[in-house]
Amino acid sequence: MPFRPVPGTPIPVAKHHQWLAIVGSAGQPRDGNNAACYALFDAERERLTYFRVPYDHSSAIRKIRAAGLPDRLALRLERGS
Amino acid sequence: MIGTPEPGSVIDGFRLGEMIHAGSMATIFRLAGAGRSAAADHEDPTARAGERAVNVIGFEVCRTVLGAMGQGRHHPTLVAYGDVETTPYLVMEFVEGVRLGDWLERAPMPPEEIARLGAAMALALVELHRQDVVHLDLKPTNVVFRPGNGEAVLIDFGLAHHGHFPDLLAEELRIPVGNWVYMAPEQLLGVRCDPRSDIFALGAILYELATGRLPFGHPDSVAKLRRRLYRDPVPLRALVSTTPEWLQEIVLRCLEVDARDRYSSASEVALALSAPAQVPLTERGARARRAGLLTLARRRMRAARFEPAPCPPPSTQPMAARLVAVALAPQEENERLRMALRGAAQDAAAADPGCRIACITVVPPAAALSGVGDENSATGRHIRRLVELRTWAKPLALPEERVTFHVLESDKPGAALVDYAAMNDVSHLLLGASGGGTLPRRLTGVGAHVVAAAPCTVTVVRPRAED
Repeated sequence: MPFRPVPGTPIPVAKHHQWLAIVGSAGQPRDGNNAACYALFDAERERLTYFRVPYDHSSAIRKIRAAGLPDRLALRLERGS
Repeated sequence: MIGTPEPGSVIDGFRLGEMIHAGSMATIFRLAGAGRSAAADHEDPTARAGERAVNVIGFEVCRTVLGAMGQGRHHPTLVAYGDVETTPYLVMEFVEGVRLGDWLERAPMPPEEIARLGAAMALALVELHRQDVVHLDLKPTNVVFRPGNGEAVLIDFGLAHHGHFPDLLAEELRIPVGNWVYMAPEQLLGVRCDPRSDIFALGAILYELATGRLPFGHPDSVAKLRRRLYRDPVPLRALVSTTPEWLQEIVLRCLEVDARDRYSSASEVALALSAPAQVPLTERGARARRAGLLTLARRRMRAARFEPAPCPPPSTQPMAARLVAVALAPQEENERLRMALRGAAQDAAAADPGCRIACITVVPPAAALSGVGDENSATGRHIRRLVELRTWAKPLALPEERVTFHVLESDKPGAALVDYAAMNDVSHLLLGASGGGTLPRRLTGVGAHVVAAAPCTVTVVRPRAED
């Protein structure tokens, strides 16, 4: 079962463990959520917090289509997968 | 490290009192009077310290899960904790009451009492599962009944799973962890996210209370542990003939191998146990003996390819905080309107302590300005508007993460606000109704457009008429 972070909920990431965090970005979502992703790492408190931010993906889609890029790239932004 | 803690030792200002438990995972002490200012008066926190690697994970899991759950009636409150590398200790509420483990010798218990205790445990599970926590180590010694109201408190969250955090136990341990007597079949296969595993353990506890026997015995090897994948327990009524059918129905349903055949939630179990007369009876309730050899052989074949049911989706969806937007006209000079808007924002912030407040003002696009010096450069203007917004919001005294400031550029303020609301999933927009300020006409138009077109609740705020 892959772990899915809950946006806004800080995850304790103690330094005696190794962590691999995939933060995501704006642009190539695969999780069915078309919002942009970022995360804040607080080294002092050993906490990692994910965030999702909706952005104007429809204008990005328009630009992709206007540039003549493959339609699946536009659809991915819309559907998030 | 702490060394060997003993009564009288002081850890981070907590003075240890009587030792009440020394187990392989932890030593538990009551805290002596001093240094427990963090705990409420009626609580006697206990401290525990662990040593081995698996204990360290259990310690971290316990700290994370209890810490995230905060205060509640069905789990001990975490009061303080130490650093896992130097001073691994937890200070938590000492729950007064009777441990269910101490009552086991009274089994078989009367059905009505089992129903009462079972319903209390099921309600405690409801509270956990609602927060996406699965206990995964439910057993009689981990259940305490508070005197008086009889509420069940679940203790020892060292093996629990919290859906909001990476599961360290799933990552690092390769053998089924937990008490093998009460463990659900899917836990054998490493599934740690299914709340119905707790329902199985609850069924096993109720079986023990009703019959004085364990539904699957005391397995001492993984092979014997796997038997519960195909071997059904002896029906309760075959052991204690006075067991009512409703109780057998409930218990055997909790003990179904496939999680999908059990009750789908702890609240359903609580409901069934509190209204026995209404429990729909099936073949389970009347069953007099275990499955025959032929059925058993068939089940055994099937068990070899046992596929655990998928975990149900988390109950608490990643829900974004509600966003309340407050639109302020640039250079709003009507102090009474500014105050009225601030009052409305204050009310909104107080009504939903989880919500965020976005303070917005709309200015004409930079290109619309021409022939201006530094003073009026787009950047300078933008910053001045931001300062205005911050000044306006300061008396709200909201923490930084709850308030944001936005200067939108558009020559159609109404459309800009509507777009902002749509794009950011604003749930409530507060807007000033200007009745006299500097920009009465424009605001009126803006207000009308926003009220008509915004995809959310819009409140038009107006200062009270002067007396």
